[in-house]
Amino acid sequence: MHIETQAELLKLSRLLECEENALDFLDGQDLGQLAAFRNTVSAFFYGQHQDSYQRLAGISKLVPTGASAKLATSVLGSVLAAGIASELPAERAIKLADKLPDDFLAKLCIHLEPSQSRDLLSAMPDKIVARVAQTLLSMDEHITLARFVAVIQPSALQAITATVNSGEAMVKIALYLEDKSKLDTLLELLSEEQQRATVKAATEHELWPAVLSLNGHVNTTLRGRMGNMVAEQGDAVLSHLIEVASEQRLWTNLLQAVNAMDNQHQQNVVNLETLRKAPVMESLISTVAEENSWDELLDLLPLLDQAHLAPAIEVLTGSQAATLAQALESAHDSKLLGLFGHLPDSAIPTMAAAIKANAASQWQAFADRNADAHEIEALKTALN
Amino acid sequence: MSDSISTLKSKGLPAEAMAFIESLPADQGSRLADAVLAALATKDTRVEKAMNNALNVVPGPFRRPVKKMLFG
Repeated sequence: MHIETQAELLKLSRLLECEENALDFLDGQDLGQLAAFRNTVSAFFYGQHQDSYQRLAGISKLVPTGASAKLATSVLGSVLAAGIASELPAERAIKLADKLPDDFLAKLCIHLEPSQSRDLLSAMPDKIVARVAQTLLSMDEHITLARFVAVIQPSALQAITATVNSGEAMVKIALYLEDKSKLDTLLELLSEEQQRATVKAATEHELWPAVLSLNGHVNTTLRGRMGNMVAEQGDAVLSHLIEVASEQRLWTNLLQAVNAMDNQHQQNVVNLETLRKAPVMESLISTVAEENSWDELLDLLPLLDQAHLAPAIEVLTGSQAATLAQALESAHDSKLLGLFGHLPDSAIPTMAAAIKANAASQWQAFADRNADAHEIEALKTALN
Repeated sequence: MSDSISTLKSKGLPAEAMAFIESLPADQGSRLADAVLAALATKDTRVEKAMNNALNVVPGPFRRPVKKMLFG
């Protein structure tokens, strides 16, 4: 199961209070639709009792905050308190929060309905948010923390990130973020040491699928910085990463990461021995074809030494030869020229035969567009 | 349409969530509707229990009017 589907189903199973794997039958459903369903059901659940919450909030306003806090912890409990807090004016809720013990407040946050608590959380002072966040971290409440990230003030987010020293927690919070566009902000707030800790945690806690998947959501600069940190982990980690990309079909994400790395790291990654394995190369090319990420792959193929290029060409002209038509149609011409110009003489006849059998018309259009390109002269001759 | 799907509809689950459930293969839709109904029941019980706990601290003679005020 794709890691982001896994994360979404975990959130839904928490909402529906069922076993973690009980909803696995929903694997394959559109992620956006699953998230929309979860949000609608969550709001529906809240709506069932909103009237009671509103009445209790009304009563609570008549009682001093100290007494309200005492009632909340001793009588109401965190579920009701969460509902009531969402119905209180933010100012009153903040005064109340300041009087509640951290562990109670943390449990209350777990039960907050996201659509109803946005204003409250964004108005919450940094010091309370940071305190609660620390408690939630100690409870491994990464899903709740991810919800925080989406709505709290940037200064509060900074206060939280400054104290997070677990790379594992960082990766999980990032994975559960509802709005992945917040990922750049979150990662930028981490110190270099913390960023390195996330990379290290990926190896130590088998979180590479999450890291690879998240990589697709970050900007190129961050992707490059994080990519270089990954590359510095050494060949054993990189080989493992390739295996994970192969097993989980996260090749496009990995290719994007490698493309953003420094050239020296790129050379190292693409020439790892693991990449020469036939099933790995097969998985790479078929995923690239499926996800139409030819440009990402073709940028790197010229960096392959002959020992690595040979198995790539073998798959491309053999079991995956049918994908050549798509590559010729959708990849950028300059990137295709890079590949064809890099072919060893011995591979020209095989490539020509594969093109002739699978992509003759696409080749013709490509050759017409690039009539003057010296990179394809040998192929053109072989094809005529 | 399965019983649980009809029940959810009658309980007012919004149309977009119903549409998602109904877009699934019948057995999956039914399983998901069962899960939503079970969660709804669990949450109802939890809130009801918390409400009763809250009412229990109200002195006996005032309990009924407070309950009426809270639950209508």
